[in-house]
Amino acid sequence: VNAEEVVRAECEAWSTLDIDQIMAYFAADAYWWPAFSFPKASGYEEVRRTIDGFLKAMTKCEFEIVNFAVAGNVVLTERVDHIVLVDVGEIAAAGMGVFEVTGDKITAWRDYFYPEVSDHGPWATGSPTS
Amino acid sequence: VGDLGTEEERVVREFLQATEGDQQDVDAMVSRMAEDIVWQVNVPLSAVVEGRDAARTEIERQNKRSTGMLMGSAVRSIASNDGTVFTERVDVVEIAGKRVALSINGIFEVRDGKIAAWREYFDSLDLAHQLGVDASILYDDIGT
Repeated sequence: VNAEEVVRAECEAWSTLDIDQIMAYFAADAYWWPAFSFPKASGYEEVRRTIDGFLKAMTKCEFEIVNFAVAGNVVLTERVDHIVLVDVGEIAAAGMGVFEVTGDKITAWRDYFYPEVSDHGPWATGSPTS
Repeated sequence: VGDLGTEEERVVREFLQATEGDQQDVDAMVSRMAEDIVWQVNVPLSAVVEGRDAARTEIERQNKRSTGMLMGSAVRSIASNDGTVFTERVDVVEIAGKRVALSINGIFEVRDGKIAAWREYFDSLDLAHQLGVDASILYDDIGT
């Protein structure tokens, strides 16, 4: 598998809302940073706990990859995340994610999103302009 | 011997160089934009700037309140796919005397050697926290 395949598989896995499938692509020393005003989750166990918390707030999560590019082991994605939040309803969050991949595992994942719409956090609504 | 990247990446790197210094170089930036550029300063919240003239006005507005990219600014990752160039960056700027290091990710669509679309993604709460202001004020006059 190459870096792009790992990232595409990870993005697909979120649609299952299954923590085991989502975590299958994280390295033991991975970190996940869902937005820069959020704490960074470091290490497999902390990433797992944090993602599990996010999953509890949603009943649907589909990552639409609008654009992507690969440079060596780094994969950059422009996405619209289609999410149904339990307390809010359906949102479409536009953002970008950067993934660093070693072998068949993700070692770093940084998302660039505006994380809050009034008190509707943790995702924004809206779409790219073109 | 380094990887010089694609022609489109070169256009974007030159464009980003024009943002460096005490002030962004308006003429150098605008000269690398397509006539009908579509620029969203912060997806999804800010207004969309359409056309090179409007882009010039927006850059001039930014220059009144912010420095250009200062020492410490960096392109963390750059990659492209066809004419679409991704830049993951740290932009160090000074706004109202406060220096901030903003983690930001920009997408450029390059057509015939010019930037035809530009979308920037960042966490404006992160920026607001660094500035010590409420995030809502960041959008009062962007793109107007």
